[in-house]
Amino acid sequence: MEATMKAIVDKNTCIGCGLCASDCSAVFSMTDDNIAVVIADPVPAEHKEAARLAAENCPVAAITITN
Amino acid sequence: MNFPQIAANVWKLGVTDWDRRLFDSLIPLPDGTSYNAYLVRGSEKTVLLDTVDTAMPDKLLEQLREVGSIDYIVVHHAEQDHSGALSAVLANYPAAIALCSNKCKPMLADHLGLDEKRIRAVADDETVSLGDKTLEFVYTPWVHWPETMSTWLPEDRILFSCDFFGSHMATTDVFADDRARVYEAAKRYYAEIMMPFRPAVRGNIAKIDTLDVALIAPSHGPVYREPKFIIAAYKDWTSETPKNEVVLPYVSMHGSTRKMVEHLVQALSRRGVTVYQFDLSVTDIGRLAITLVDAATVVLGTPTVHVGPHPLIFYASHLANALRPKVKYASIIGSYGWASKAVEHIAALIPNLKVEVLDPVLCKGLPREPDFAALDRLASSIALRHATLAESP
Repeated sequence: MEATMKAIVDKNTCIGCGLCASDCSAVFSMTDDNIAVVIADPVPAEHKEAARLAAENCPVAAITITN
Repeated sequence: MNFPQIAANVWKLGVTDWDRRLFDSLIPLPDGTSYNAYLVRGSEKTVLLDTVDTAMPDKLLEQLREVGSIDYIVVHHAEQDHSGALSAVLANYPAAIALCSNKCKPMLADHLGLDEKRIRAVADDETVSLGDKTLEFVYTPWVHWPETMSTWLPEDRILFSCDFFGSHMATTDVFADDRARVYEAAKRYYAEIMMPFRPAVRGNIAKIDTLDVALIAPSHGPVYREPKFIIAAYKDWTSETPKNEVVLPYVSMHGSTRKMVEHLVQALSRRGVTVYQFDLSVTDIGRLAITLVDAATVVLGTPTVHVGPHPLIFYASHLANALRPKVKYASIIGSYGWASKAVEHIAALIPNLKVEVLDPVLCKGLPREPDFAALDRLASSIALRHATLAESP
């Protein structure tokens, strides 16, 4: 069985640039306080690649992907 | 007013920088550039959209002498090539207020040391009335920074798009009617600053695609009066389906790697693959970036210096890794003197490129028949994979 992927945002590190929500809007969203939050847990299979891209692109490495 | 008028009570101001040859101390500007500002005069309020580069505030202030009062200055993007004259304009127009996105406001304080009392953040979709004209703000993040926005002027159907759709081009033409020239310049600009953010750019295209745009007025280069042309080009560039093209940046110190490159280019060409060959010792990296927009494959050609690739190959690999092109395949070819770790070194430089690595072809000294045969196999392998491109997602 394929492993379950989880995405975690460190809200103390996030600078609210919004790139993750642009790269993968199915998994990441911006709060009214302009912090990224995970809205899909676990990450659906069809969004795993985009979630990984979002984690790699994060300019402050605030996103951890576990699987 | 003595400026080009692009619609009723809408003028193009700003500076044409014919002589600038480098941007960000990195990117060649073969055609110079322009920093466009626009003036919109409503029946009640007057607005300046963007300013000009830090190096030339006086030129904009001189243009504004004809204008009289200014109520608002829209700051689409905090970068200094557009906001560089903002402090000077605010100082000259003490009643004027800068309008920008919520992310832009702290950036203007950070980068320009502006007094935040002179800045008002506007929300996505917020409108500001000028009387008989309306400004509608459209957040367009990542074209080019996270704070970037555009402005829609519905009465005249003009989209002021800032860097989005822009081109580094000095020209006396107000409008982008010389399509071939503008296409190349706009693609260069997209490749250098927006390609890594393709998903965000696609989202922004979808956002503006709902508008019935008559003019796109960017902050660099000429104004589009046939905006479908540049919107279609952006859709093509941001799609995830690459074309039947190979980019082949290489360096050759004594000619052996060049022989391999020439053989591979001919072998690919015979198999119907378009190849862009770049000698990195004399290459304009902007041209290289343009070809990376569409290519399905990158082949790096390098001699071995000491034990690894030539330093110019490190540079090109790092650049390609940062630009995150949609390439699907990669390989390495080259000649070495006695031993080489070129493949291992290059592989470590491009973690962002999600590519299938095709068998590298490295040879000791001059390439010989078995090496040319291996290059032919590489060409066949590339052509075979490219034949399936249109079908893959």
